[in-house]
Amino acid sequence: MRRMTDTERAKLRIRLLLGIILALQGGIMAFLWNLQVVQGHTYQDQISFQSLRRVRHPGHRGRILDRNGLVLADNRPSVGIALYPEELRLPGRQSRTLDRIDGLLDEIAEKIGVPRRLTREEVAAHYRNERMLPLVAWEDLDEATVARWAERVGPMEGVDLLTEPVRHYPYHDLLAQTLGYVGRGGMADPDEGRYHFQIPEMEGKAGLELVFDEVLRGEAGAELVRIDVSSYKHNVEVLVPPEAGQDVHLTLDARLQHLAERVLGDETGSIVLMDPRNGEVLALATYPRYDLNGMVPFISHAVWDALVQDPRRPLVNRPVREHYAPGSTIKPMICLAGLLSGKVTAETEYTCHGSYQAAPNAAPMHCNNRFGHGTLDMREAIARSCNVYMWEMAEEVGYGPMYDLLASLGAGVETGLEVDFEVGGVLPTDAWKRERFNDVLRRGDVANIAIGQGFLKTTPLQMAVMTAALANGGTMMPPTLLRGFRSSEDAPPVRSEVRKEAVDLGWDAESVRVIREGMLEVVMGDRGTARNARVEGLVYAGKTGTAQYGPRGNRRYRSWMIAFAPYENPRLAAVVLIDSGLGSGVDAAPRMQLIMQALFGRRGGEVPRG
Amino acid sequence: MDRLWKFLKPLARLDWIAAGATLTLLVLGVLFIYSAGYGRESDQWVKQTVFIVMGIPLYLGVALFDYRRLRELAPVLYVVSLVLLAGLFFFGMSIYGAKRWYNLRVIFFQPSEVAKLAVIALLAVWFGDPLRNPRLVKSIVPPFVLMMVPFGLIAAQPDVGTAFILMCIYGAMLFVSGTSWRILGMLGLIGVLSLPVAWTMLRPYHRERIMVFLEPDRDPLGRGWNVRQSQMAVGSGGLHGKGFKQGTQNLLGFLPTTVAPTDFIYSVIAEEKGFVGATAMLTLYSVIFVALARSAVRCSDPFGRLLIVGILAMFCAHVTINVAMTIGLMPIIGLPLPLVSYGGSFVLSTLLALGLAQSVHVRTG
Repeated sequence: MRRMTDTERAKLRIRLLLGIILALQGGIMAFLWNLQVVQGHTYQDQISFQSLRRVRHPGHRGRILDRNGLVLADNRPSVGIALYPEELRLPGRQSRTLDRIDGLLDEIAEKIGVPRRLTREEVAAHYRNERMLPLVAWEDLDEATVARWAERVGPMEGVDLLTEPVRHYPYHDLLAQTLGYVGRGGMADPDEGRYHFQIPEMEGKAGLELVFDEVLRGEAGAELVRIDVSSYKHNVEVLVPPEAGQDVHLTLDARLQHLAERVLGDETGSIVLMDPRNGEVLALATYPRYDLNGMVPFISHAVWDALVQDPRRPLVNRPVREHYAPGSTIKPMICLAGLLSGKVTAETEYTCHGSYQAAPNAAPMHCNNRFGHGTLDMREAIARSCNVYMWEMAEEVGYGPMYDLLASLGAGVETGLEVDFEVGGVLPTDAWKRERFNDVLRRGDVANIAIGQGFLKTTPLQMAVMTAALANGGTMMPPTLLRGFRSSEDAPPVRSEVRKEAVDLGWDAESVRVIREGMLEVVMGDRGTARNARVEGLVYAGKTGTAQYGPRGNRRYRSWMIAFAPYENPRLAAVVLIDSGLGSGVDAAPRMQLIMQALFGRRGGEVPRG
Repeated sequence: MDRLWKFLKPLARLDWIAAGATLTLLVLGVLFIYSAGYGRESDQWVKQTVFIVMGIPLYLGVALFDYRRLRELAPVLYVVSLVLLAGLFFFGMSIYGAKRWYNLRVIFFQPSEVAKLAVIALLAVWFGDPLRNPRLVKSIVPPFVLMMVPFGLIAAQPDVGTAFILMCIYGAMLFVSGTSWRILGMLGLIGVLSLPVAWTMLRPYHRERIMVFLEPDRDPLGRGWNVRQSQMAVGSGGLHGKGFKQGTQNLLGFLPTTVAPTDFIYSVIAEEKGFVGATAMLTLYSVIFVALARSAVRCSDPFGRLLIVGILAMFCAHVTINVAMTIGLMPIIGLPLPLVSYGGSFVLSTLLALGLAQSVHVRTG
């Protein structure tokens, strides 16, 4: 065989190389045939799956109603103007469609007389990312504007009115701190499913709106939107319809709430009205308040700053979020503790000379009557609010029974009312004092507690619970605001969660009667401290209290009054507290009188003016 | 006038089939870059057109240039390219952590493009020496070393794809030089044995890409995303495709906009034009392969012949690797598709190489 020349070998090798190259191309083509023609359908299915978008639609938010069905938190339709990009698209470059939308916005703005809110950049951003969703160009238009729209523009291609729900509080500042408000919610939990888009949802931010947020919200639905190649909406395949939230029914009575707020007027303070038979809270009033409609859909900086900087702290829900020295309103409880301990009786007498020394070298403590009340029994001591009587009795009885009784009535712990934030107050113990002052409770401390001063702190709501227990003869009723949830108008409200059980405190009926008679004297007796709070035709019982605070020279007074009415078979336990007043006789008792007058008086049922 | 005519005369002998296929691919490239950018108002297709308009005179100019003068120029070119490659580590522009480019403002200049041509020229000089016996080991080791120096510099950028192209060039030119099958077999064996070493030298993300290739569901939303979406795009193209500008994968942004007009342009083509378009594209490339091989066979000058073989190897390796990786036949190594992918520097260097092959062609027989 003739040996190949180098050139011949090179040419052969080139042909071989080309053969390998072409074989590779052939292999690729075979692979393509399998991928594109044989398996093509599989991939086409996968692609079409990718052209689906999941959109999350929130459920219709439930309402909040009072015990009579008055709506306290409602949804109001907000009429806006929306542009639908899929109907506005123009062939060719995107900027043409953008120009068209931009031009339309200017045109509509001029015709309806409302300046445009969206910048071209915002329009472009929506167009880039969410063009399958309507672009809301104006929100919450007033009737006149809607009328101008109908007259001058009218529904046109790709532009129409769009109605969206907005939270609305028909009574503005009524029950503001307790009711709370909603804001724009954040993104849904990723565990709920992966969404491409989420329609904004209302989310409870404070108060009952926050506490019952899950119930009110309902279940979000999901919509599958098929989009075309340019990501315009093609058609909609509903996957899961959203489920409306439930209505929340409160025990609260809007009329009583209104009454309480009117009675409070413009004094910083609290009023709690409660049904002593079942613990249902009927009114939970405080001042100052704010208009809840100013908080939705979002809180403006101006509004928020004003609320935060207001020295009267309007954001604080005083009946549950502030604790105070209860002052003399605690005296019925102290006396009851004495009776229940068996160490004193209703007939036990002490003589008041106007002052008392807790310890031999201690500074004398004074009674409210500097000249002394003379010799008193327990009923008189309550009626005339004698401090010396309490001090003498406390020395006899000791702190143990006082502590036990106040603890059984819930002093020092949160009541568990369905509010977003509550404080428990202070029921001092040795351990409590040691932690703060490295000392145990002394006789002077106990003496102070016996007249509702010193370390003892209670919330107005806790005082209402105690008053209710005295009213109903010894049952501690855990307070509640919630009657139940209701998903439709026809069904009765259902209370799903279990209420804290009422506790029968096992009080001796005779002891309770003595205390109640003492409290009756407070209002009805000739020398009672609240005799100016009497109401014609009503027999009721109560107790006033004035707790000093603030520095010497600028003494201010917490003016309290607790009461239950009517005296027989009470239906109402009430607490009035004015944070900074002149004294209970001036600030609290007249307000209690207004409440009792309105509810039980001869000319009752009428809400006082001003 | 006569002088000009005489100057331009070689163009009459141009390999018109190769030139026609090249121009067709360039035009198709612009169309699909337009399509890949459609819906984003990208002006990349305009820029690509500008580079093509600049590239055609370059192509013809190089064809007029006598390739034989490259014999002397090759070492110079080689040294310059090494300097440029080394300089990258100091002055190079870093993109995604790789320093492959000089930023010349108008264009991103990639020195590895020059290095590839320099290696081709230098190896052609070496293997084209008629006095050298290609069957001896001492004839094949020096060119291997010459190739390995830029290989190392490029692999360190890191740009494993381009480095791999250098290997292909060396292999093809060695093969055509007429070395013995024994040596080829030995080299192949060494290559296989050095794979584990190469594996340890790869960067973690390269290893991860290879793992993703072997096991596509390993990380479908991360590293597996591009190849998975690309394969879906190609697969859903079917026999006839979805039509020009109708590729949903690309338009819906499932193919990342950064790679759709560059490394993954072939999947845009395969989706929009289907199997028919995809194979037609490959056929056009094959026409160039055949034309180059034919020029090489016709050429009696060993230097010119090897020059064309080197260009063929480079061009073909680019095409085959790019297509194979976009359709999921190979792990992703970032290599563009010659003549079609968006990228000015690469268009110019490809046209330069193909023009050089034409220069050999017009001066043959």
